[in-house]
Amino acid sequence: MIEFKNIQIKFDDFTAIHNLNLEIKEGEFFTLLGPSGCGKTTTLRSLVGFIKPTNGDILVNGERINDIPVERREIGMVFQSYALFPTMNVYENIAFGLQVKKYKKDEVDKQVREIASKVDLNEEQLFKKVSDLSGGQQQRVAIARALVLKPKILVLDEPLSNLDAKLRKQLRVELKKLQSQFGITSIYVTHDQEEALTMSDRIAVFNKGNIEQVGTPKEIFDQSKTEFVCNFIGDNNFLQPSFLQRIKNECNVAIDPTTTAYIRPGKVTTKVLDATQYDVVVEGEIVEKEYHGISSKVTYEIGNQRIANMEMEDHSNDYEVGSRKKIAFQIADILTY
Amino acid sequence: MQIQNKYKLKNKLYIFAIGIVLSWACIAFLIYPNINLLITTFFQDGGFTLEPFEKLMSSERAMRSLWNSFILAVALVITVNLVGLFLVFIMGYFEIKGMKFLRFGYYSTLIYGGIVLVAGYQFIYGDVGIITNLLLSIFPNMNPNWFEGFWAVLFVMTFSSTSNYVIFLLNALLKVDYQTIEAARNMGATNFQIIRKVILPVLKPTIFALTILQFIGGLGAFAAPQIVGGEFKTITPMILTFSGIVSSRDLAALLAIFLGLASMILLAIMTKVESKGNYMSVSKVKTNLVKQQINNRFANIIVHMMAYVLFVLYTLPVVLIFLFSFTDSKAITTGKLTWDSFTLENYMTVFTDASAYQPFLVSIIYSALTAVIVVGLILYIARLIQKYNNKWTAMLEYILHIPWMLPSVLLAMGLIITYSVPNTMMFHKVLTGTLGILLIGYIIVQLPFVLRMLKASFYSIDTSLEEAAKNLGASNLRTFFKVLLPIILPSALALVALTFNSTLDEYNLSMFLSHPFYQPLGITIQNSTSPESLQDTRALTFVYTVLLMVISSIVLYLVYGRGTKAGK
Amino acid sequence: MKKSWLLIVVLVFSLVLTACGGKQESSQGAGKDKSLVVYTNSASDGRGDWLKEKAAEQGFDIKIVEAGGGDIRNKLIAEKANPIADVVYGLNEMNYIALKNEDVLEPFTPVWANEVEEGTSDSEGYYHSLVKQAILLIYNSDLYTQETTASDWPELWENKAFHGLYEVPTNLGGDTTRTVIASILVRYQDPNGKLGISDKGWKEIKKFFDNGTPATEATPFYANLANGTTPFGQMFSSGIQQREQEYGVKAGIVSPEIGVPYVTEQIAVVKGTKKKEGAEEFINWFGSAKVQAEWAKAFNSMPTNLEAAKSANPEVKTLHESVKKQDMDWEFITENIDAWIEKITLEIQ
Ligand SMILES: Nc1ncnc2c1ncn2[C@@H]1O[C@H](COP(=O)(O)OP(=O)(O)O)[C@@H](O)[C@H]1O
Ligand SMILES: [Mg+2]
Repeated sequence: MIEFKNIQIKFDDFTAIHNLNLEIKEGEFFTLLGPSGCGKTTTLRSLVGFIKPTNGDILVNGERINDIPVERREIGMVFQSYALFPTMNVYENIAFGLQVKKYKKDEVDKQVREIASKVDLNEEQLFKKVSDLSGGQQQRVAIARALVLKPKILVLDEPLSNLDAKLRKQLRVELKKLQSQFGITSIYVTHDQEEALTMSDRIAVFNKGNIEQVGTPKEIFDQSKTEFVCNFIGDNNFLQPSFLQRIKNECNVAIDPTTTAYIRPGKVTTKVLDATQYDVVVEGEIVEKEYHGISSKVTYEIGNQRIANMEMEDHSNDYEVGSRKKIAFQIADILTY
Repeated sequence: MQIQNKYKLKNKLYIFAIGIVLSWACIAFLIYPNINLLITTFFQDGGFTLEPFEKLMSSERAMRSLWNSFILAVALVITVNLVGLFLVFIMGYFEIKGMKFLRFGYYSTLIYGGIVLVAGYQFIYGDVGIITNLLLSIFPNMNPNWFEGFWAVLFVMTFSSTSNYVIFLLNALLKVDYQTIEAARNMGATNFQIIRKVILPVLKPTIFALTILQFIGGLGAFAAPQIVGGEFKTITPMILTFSGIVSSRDLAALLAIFLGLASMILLAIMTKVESKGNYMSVSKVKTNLVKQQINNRFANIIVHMMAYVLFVLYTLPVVLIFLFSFTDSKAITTGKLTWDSFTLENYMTVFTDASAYQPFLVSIIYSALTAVIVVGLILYIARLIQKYNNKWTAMLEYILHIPWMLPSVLLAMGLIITYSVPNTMMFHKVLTGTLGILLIGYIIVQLPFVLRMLKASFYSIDTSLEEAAKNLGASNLRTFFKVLLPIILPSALALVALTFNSTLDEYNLSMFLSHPFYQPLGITIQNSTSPESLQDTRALTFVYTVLLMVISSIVLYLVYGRGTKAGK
Repeated sequence: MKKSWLLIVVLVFSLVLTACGGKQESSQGAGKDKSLVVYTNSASDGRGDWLKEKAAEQGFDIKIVEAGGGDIRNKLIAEKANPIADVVYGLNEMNYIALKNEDVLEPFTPVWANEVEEGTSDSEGYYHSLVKQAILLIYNSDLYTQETTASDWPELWENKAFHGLYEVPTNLGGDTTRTVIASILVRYQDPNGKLGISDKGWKEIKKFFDNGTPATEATPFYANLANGTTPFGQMFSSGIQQREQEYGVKAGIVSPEIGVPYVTEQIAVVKGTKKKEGAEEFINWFGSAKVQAEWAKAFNSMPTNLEAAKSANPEVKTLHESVKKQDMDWEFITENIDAWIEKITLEIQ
């Protein structure tokens, strides 16, 4: 549905986006993920039309939209600060776009109320000042305001970034629910990998104006294509050459000890019932235990290699620091670069 | 427990002392002289009479002047808002080619004002002015005195008031969250709709406050009606005339009371509207305004043209005054330039003749003292008002607004009448004939404006900052100097600059209160613009004006120029 | 960085302060008793500098403060309790009467008191006359002749041909203006009239203002006289010669049958001065026949000192001989002038 073709975006002589190629499908919840300053917002704004790419084409439904003005692109946007008009109340904020489009008064009213009930804003809240709303309510107003115009695409630029952790988690769910309820193609920008992994259908990981990897959350996590993606998403155990050499010798696996290699904590197991099932089985000493509630992060030392693992606190793992255990993993789970 | 009591006592003593000093100052300088003036004027022959009131009511001219003042105020509100808003939008919102350079022009009336500015405009558009000469050569039949009356006054005052207007409104515009503008665009709003529905509502409180200030300024207009008013007479020159005749001072006072009441009503409205607290910004992260291209080609051309025409109107007086300050008096009186007209003599005179440069030094010292003292004092008082928000501080605030309700001439007269004889209030010290009385006068008239502005800055500080400082163990004094002051400092410095500049060429107070040996510049300039003056003093006026502009510019640069750089 | 410019400001500030302080000292240091502060409305056109210079030869250190007559009067009254001035000269008798009533003056009889024209000084010795001044209606003699000019003020508004051609004052604070107004009004003195003037008198003064061209701040009267915009207007006699040279136009003088108002300019010691002796010495010197004669020569004045009057410039003498003195009741005028001006400002102008 949306296609970025060879997009380059320059600010004076600084190139924010180098050569972007990306395709987003109809109805998808697509996330642009990356550290701050990598060009996510820039990409998004070029789609919405606030920025003109210096090179390349942006296509929507196969149609080039580079030169279509912002207001005709039918792309709704939810801003990082929500950008609610402070001088208007909730109702007026939502009605703004419809009034601009010169809808009849009763039509405006009907639509505003319809969308308000869909995002769970009640009558009383409709006539409140926006500054009197909670963060979550403000977000719903912002979304309602964008959706009331029935856009083809909804874009959201870090809409949760200035909320507290609990609210963020809660709104994540709501947002996703709203999106699937409306079934609208959405592009979501965030620097929070957890947010990206939980909400998205697909993710594009950005780094310094380039896309490192595009894929489903599982692909991104399990098969991180580049070292950057691997490090940016989730925890990691860096495997030292000496350790690689050791398992190559001891377990007789085919691995080049000179490569950069990682293994994710979740990919390691300590419940080795049948050692032949695993490519690598070694013994290590528990040197650290970090309690997280449901689970704990347990760190093992094998020679001078440390490997951390997440283990459930279900009494099957009640080992003390200092005890020794067997740990095992599959060679296919080692990410090499 | 004992220690606590000791602190409590100390604090109480301190507040008590402050209370006494402030009460004395308020009564001695702001209340008593004015009441005394009213009493001596209205109870002249032992009893109160309504005679002055009847006199004024039956005087067609007085009523017309009063009416004219109101008309002028209303018209000024309209023109200043139109021109001011236009300037604010082309300076802060739209992409205009050459704005970096143009904006200096629009700010030019910050560096000169009052009598000097009006004299400059008169010099250009008046009957022998350059523009008039030019127009006459095209339309030989036109009236050379075309630049006179209501429209001339309105024109001059519009231009002289907009710079200030622009400063404050531009500030408000820059506080608009750019994301709201983009959101509106995203929803299909046009530039015009964005301005009308998104930006103007945010600016509304500021516009409202500035409008009321304009209105009060229009009511009290002095220099412009006096010099280019012609038949269009307003109230303040009349007040000045009557205050010069001892037996007519009751009329002066009464007229002043009319104006004062009008101002008071407006201020009350303003305070009311302000306290309603129109809205609160909801943006936690604000993005800076980005200038907008005007997409309609035709509109773009028109706006550019208007911007440049305004620029010319703003800069022409400055450039010509600068040019003519280097010419002999003949060129100045005839408005005609030849190569031989140019001379450095005027400057030589001003820099070498003590009697010529003394007024300058006097004005600079007075203005600097006034600016520093007023801002320092109000910093303290505004903090007091913010910290102890009770009925006493509320009263203090009202009292400090008195100078806004009375024309400065009247304040001066009150001081003179009250302190020209030994008075207990001043510990039997006679103030007339001292250097201090003019300083007191200057300080008094600046109080309300500075208070309003500084108070606003204090209230805009996040209270948690102060709490954090206290929590970390900082004393009150330390909190103020290390935490609050640095935040307020830009506003405070800006106010020092504005106060300094507006005091430099003050005339009304100076005329009544200045020490005869140390006459400030306003007097010198007014004397040299009077018809009886010999011509070469007119040339000196131009030099004074140029020097004034230079000093004001330096002061503004120090405060604003560096400020904006640091901001970037 | 921020502190550096604050420092500069403070530095400049203190420099300026010390510079001024230094000057103040030096001006006060010299010749204790003979350094005097003189208030006057008559220091323009070089008079002030002349006086300073001549007085310096006698050992006086004179500081002159100049302002309009009314302003000087108000200033002196305001400073009554803490006077700055030692001597005041040049204001007309109306102002001196007011000053005397306000207890601002110190009686003193100068050595030359008997030499001046009788009846021109205060009978109680509070002030003493120096020069007399005729307040004239003048015209541009290039445009009008003795025959074609208006013969008196009233003709200016009675004859339509002169409407708009004479300048009327806008600022009514000046002494000359007040004298002209008084000279017109006293013709209609009427004990039963408003403020001692008959209704007809008020009508006449209204016509005077209605049919004239108001003076503007921008252009001096003489420039308008010269270029023909307003070829008629008021002038004090001693100002004519110098302006004739400056503007290159010869003024014709109207000599009405009723006469022209004469004012006398006075000199007096300010009460409360700390330099009484010096002030008296200065007055003795300045009012003496010799000095007044020189003054008359230099500034075309007409001394009231009979001896000095002989050496007045011939043109001045002829001028004064050519006009008759209007008979005016100055007590009556002084009593009412402020009220008249107020009434005119409110209802007529
Ligand atoms: N208007 C602009 N002018 C110049 N540089 C910009 C502009 N907008 C963004 N940039 C730069 O482009 C890069 C990408 O910015 P952005 O897209 O906002 O990053 P993010 O991924 O955090 O949203 C940053 O280095 C930023 O400094
Ligand atoms: Mg961003």
